[in-house]
Amino acid sequence: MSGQGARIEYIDISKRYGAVEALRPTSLTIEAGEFFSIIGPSGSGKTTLLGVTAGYVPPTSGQIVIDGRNVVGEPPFQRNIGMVFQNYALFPHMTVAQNIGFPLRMRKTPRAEIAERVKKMLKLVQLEEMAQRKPGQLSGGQQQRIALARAAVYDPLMLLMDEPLSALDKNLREAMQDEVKQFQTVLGSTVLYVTHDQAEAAAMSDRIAIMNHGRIVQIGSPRDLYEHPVARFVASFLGEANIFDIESVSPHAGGSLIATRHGFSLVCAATQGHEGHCVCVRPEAVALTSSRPEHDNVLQGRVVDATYTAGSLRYRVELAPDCIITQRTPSVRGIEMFDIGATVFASWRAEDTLLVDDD
Amino acid sequence: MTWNSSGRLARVFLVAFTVAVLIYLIMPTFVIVPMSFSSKSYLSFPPPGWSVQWYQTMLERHDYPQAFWNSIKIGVPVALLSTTLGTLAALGVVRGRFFGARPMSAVVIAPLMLPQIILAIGLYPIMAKFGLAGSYPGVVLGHTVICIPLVFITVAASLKNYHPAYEYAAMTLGAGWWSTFWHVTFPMIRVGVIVGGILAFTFSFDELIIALFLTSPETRTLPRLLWEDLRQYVTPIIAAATTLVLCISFLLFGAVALLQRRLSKASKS
Repeated sequence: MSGQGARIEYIDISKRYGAVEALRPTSLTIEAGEFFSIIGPSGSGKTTLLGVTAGYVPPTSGQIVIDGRNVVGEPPFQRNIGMVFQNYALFPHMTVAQNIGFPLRMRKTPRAEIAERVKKMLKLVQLEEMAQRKPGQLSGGQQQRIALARAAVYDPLMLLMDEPLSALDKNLREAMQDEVKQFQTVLGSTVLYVTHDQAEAAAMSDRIAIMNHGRIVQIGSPRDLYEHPVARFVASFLGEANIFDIESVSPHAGGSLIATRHGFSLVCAATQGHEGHCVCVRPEAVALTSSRPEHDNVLQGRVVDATYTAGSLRYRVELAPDCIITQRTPSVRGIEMFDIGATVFASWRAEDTLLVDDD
Repeated sequence: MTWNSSGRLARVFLVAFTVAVLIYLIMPTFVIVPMSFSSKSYLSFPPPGWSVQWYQTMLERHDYPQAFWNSIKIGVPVALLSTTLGTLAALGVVRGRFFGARPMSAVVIAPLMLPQIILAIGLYPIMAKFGLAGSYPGVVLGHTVICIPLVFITVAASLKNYHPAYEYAAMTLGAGWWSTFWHVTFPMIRVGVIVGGILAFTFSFDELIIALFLTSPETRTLPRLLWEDLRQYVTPIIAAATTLVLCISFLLFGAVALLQRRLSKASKS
């Protein structure tokens, strides 16, 4: 129960079901001890990548090298990988202790050692008093912790997690994020975490891969992905994005000047822009004022919607017919709110005009 | 008429209708019971007087006890064989991801749907060719053909009840194919397997047509003996033996009902 997880390297791994390419040839390296998440819509290939790693989905081509050993072709039970399933898959006919002890029993570990290691794991997930219960008698959060304990008790090379928190309600999910993260830090395991919840992935991961249509679109730290999305899909999948379609791009004072489809002129700090791009502006980058400010980009509009949620204000501002942008600011006490219908100026820096691939 | 009183009327009608259907379903089966306690030597309903003499006569004759044991000697191996094969078939068709899994399940169920007389006529010359006609293995094989689908249906239903993630989980945790089946799959489908086995035994115990073709006087089953007796002397012995078969069948169906209740309780908790 210590030390580092394994390093895992995917080399041109792919999976095809008949004519459907569930996973296009993908190469990827996950470092030892890294918390790596894969996010993407359903059908993007993330679950296939997980199944291929666990060994119950045979890949069509490619290699998976774990600590220098190619595991493709090995059955799941020889891979020494731990997996936490979406609905936990705790065996209903076994007690909690038997569930956690199961992988050790399969490894013919001596009885006394099994008891000891099960106890240690139960202590780590703080459920010592539940040892003799059946999984059906536990709450969702408790079952989740038992599933984690069971997947980690035999010091697997890495832990795979398939949307492990999706069955929990929102508050519990956020609490469990911290627990899962802490669990991983204590054990030092390499984690491959699959989710469709971008906020969850951002909160826990060292790096995230965004998948779409069976391939990885972008890999990076949560901050990287949010601040430097390479494609429209990434920009709108991870957080909120205001997207402007581009008409033309011309050089301008060390950056570029962009004419959008709606007839706006936007200043951008980047120089490599071209027509295959679109513009992405994050809602937090936009400032709203009632009088025209001095700024790189200033657009006039009308407030069509204002929402107050715990901690933030969210406005929807119509800049032109069928062009509405979203703006978000922290809600500090006493902040002045714009009325719906009010005329406002939306402004942002040239650095916040992001150019991303338009696909 | 108020809404309430018309609702009550409808309920009375519904209860009366349900009771009528139940009587229609069960009564014909139970008519045989009073007939077996008749005091006279011919079958009639209602019986003119009461006695247990036909039960005594049945036990004193050598052919009834022998046929009863034959039925058990055939039913038990049929249950074991069809439980094994039917469970394997269900595992393959439900869990296997191979081309033709659906047509395969149709093929497995087919013997249950087809008229048994066709199967019996088809089996007889084959069994005769291999020297199995009239032997225990012959009729056991014949019954197993029809009992495999019974087990297949109950086991497939309990397999579909839970997600294959349990098996994937067991395998990632280090359990090989056999361990996964033994420690995870089987405990979860156990009730379905046992119910299938009981149904298989009950079927074999009651079956007539295949037994007519494939048994000899030595391996004659109780239903066949009843059939033969019925054609010669219609005495209340037949009713007594039938009542015995009925009791055993009801005991087994009761066991099935209890098991299924346990299963639904287990899946709830």
